[in-house]
Amino acid sequence: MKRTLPLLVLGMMTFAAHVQAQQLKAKVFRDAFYYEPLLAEPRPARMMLLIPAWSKEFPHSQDPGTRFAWQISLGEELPIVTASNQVADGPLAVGRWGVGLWIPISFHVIEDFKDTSAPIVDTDYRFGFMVKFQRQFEKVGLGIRFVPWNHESTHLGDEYTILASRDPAFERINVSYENWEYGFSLEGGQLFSDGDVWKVRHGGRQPWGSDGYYSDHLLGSEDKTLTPSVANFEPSVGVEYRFSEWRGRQLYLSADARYQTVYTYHQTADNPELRQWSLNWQVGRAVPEGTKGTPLKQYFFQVYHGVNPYGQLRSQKDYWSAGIGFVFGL
Amino acid sequence: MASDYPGRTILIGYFVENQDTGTVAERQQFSDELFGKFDAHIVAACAGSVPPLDPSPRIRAAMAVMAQNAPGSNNGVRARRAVEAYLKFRGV
Repeated sequence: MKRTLPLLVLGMMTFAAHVQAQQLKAKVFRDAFYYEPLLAEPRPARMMLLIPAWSKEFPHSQDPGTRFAWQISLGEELPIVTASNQVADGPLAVGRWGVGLWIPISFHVIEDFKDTSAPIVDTDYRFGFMVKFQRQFEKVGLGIRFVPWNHESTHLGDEYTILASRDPAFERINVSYENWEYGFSLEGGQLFSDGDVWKVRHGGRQPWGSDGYYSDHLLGSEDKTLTPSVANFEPSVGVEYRFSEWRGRQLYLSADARYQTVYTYHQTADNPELRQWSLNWQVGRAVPEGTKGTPLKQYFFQVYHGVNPYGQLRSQKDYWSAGIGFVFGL
Repeated sequence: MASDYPGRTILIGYFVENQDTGTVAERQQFSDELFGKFDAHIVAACAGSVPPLDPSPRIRAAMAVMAQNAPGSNNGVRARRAVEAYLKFRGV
């Protein structure tokens, strides 16, 4: 104890001198590249088109079988404020760190071109508050993402609902919830060659409260006829490897796996709630992180398999979709 | 190691990024950071050019500012892009 206290004081003085030696620079409404979404992350706030794309039939599809179904994501992580002991923009140098607040907001749509009138199947809306932290060590970078509060509201398309209503067993579920989320990222480069980049991630999310991901009553009814989701914590893991640049872009492999709840609206002993690993993987080419002035950020081939990611259709397991994708940005 | 980049070039780099002059301390740290990120790569790339180039602090500062605004997956790639652009500009 006698030695610990002076060492602690000495350490704090050293840290204070270190911080004082470097400007702590705050920037308002300016983006910083801390904990950028994994390229294969299924629902980040970014602008993405998946076309041409195909999908397994949905639970209430009129025409059976695989269908042409494009997917659109429109979103952005809106930067509010960042603070860093690095003044210059761009990747953090060794020993430098940055922290900031963002508002991620996004819309996710899927349209089915097989059924009558090409129905919009579902649209999901998300927004929340997100704190991201990044620190660069000698060999690796550490990224942390914490979302203390996020809201997701999901909506089946009206044409899809009209067609689905022909089935007397069809129910319109209100999938809407608030959740928290976290993520850890280890990132580095020069694994196999100069200019390559790797990332390994772990994350998780869970709704606030014990009422789960959806209401216990149908839309338009007050009767509590639905059983709430029980296994609400959804962990995730991800890996990504970007090869060295070739003609301004990096060939990459990216994969994101999530252990997701299969929404089971009428749970019984014979029909318990299930969970399934959902895997989204991409192979494609992307501009290096932080590149400005190239609107097309990445193009890729993507395959998704697992729980249907759209609104109340998350009751569908073993769903798949595949297609060619494009991500745009400033 | 402290930067030997001239202040005028650093002012341009800082202004491009921030649309502001910043304080003397902020520009000095900006200068040191660009020096730390790019200078060794710039010197190495220049030494490897044909004929080898021994750039002055003013030229290295200009290349560091270019590297700061260049795309690339790491600092070496961005610095090499800046050196290539400078050599092309010089007709080398």
